[in-house]
Amino acid sequence: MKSTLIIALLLLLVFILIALGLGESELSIASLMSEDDAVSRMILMEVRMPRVLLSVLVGAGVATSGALIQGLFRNPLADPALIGVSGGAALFASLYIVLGPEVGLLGFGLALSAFIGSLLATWLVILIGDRGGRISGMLLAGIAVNAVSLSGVGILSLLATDQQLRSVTFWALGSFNHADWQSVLISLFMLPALLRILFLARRLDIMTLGDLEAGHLGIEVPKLRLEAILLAALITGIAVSLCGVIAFVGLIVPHLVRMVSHARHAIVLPGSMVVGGMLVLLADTISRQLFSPAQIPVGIVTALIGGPFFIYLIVKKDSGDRL
Amino acid sequence: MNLQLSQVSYRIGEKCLLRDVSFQIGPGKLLVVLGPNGAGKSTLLHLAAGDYQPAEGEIRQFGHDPFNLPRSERATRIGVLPQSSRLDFPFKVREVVHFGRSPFVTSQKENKRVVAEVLLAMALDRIAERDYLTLSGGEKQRVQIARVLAQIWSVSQGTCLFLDEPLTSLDLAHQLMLMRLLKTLATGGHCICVVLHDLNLAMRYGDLIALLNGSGELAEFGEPPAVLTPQVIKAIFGVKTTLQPSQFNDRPGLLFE
Repeated sequence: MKSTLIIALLLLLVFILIALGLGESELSIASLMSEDDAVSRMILMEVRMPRVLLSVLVGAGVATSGALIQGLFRNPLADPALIGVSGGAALFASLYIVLGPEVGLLGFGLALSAFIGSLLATWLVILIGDRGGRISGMLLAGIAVNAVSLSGVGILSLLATDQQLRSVTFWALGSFNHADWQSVLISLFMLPALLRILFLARRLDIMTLGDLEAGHLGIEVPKLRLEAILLAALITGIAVSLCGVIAFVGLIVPHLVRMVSHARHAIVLPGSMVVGGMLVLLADTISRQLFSPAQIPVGIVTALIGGPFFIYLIVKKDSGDRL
Repeated sequence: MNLQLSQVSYRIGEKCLLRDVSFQIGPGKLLVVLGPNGAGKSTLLHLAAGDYQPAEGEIRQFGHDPFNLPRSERATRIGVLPQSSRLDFPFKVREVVHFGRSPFVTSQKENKRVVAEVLLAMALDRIAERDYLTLSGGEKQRVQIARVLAQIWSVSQGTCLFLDEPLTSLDLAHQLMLMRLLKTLATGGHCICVVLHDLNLAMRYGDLIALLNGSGELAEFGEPPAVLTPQVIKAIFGVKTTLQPSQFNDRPGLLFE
């Protein structure tokens, strides 16, 4: 299993190198090596590098929090978007864009706002869902909270100026167009949370047996649930603030990892990190290459891949041959 | 005493699920909980296991109030099998059973040994590497039982095992296999509480029987031959019964009208 992970990591490196080379202007190693090609180096260091790094980091974050949420809700079809976290983050990001201060620390303020939104949405979902006492109740509550959040985004987009509207749309669909070194810097705040998640692997394995069962096996379930949800909200909040809602990555990546390797979280969590980074990088590269120089939002690409995959999962689940 | 319940009542809203239940069991006893559907058997089991706080009365596990003990400490001496457990992730059978070892800091080698023994005891050794999701209902049930057994396997004294209808979806041979195994474990010093519906198995394997009536009261408590009389069965289940001496066992079998 370790060797698979190392191969995946190497593959990710290759992906990164290829993605750095692709774009409107041709970059070759030769041109970068030559002393006087400042433009090429500029494009590489100021445009492509932050964008590629950001997409890898965000992909890793979103996919890992997806794996976390799936284990926690012990539902392989759960996803931060499905439990309302991303919707809440998008709503608060939009609120900040439309009603917030025009200047200042836009990056940090926006990230904080999105984080608060994702926390509030999660808290609301737990509050509503717990009354039903069932996991499905929580998913249904998440769908409702998500729908309300997105209609909130819709209302805000009516109030917005043209410039703001562009930003709001960007957040609703997800895009790395605005990637720069500052956003890479902010995304690094996900790293401690990601690291912490890796330490929850064993307990998440046991959580998949059920809340009651996990309690019988010595897990303090409410404490673990709170911590895991805070971590997922933090990561999702940061990711959404930087590049908007990237649909389906959190859902499908853990599945892919489970399919090719193993269900144990000690493998699914780091595996999702690497594969998530790879997939989002791939999707972003497609989104900027496909109709170049026009760029389609990366969320559209991931949804185009993820939607059919999700349907496939549901159909497979129905036929009794479950994943 | 491993387990003591004194005047325990439990209600949800206005509805009283259990009324004034008191009994105690020591080590080495196999207690069978019987009663009609909705009598509160599962509620009783979960109360005794420390999952719910009783509305009135006291529960003591080894002299302690379970709610005063951290989960991790309880998990080393209390194993619980709920009526139904869902697992939707493709773990291997061996891994699921291995989860039962998680409360312990025993060595990997020791854990592997226990898991191997439990797999063998539950006749799961041949499917140990199978994906849990591909198993039949009865096989899944056996895996879940094995997981709970792995939790108390290497400890011989001072444990309680609570199993809520473990025989559902097991075939005859596996039902008997499990009852024999539980009997052996009880003889070895474990205290075992199991909810059953089969009065014959209760008669044959139980050391003690707690019989609940339809309104959540403990109607009878005692040794099987004393509790499972035709009069009592008629009164609780409304079924006429005759006792038939068995050639396999010193306790009689039950024949129903």
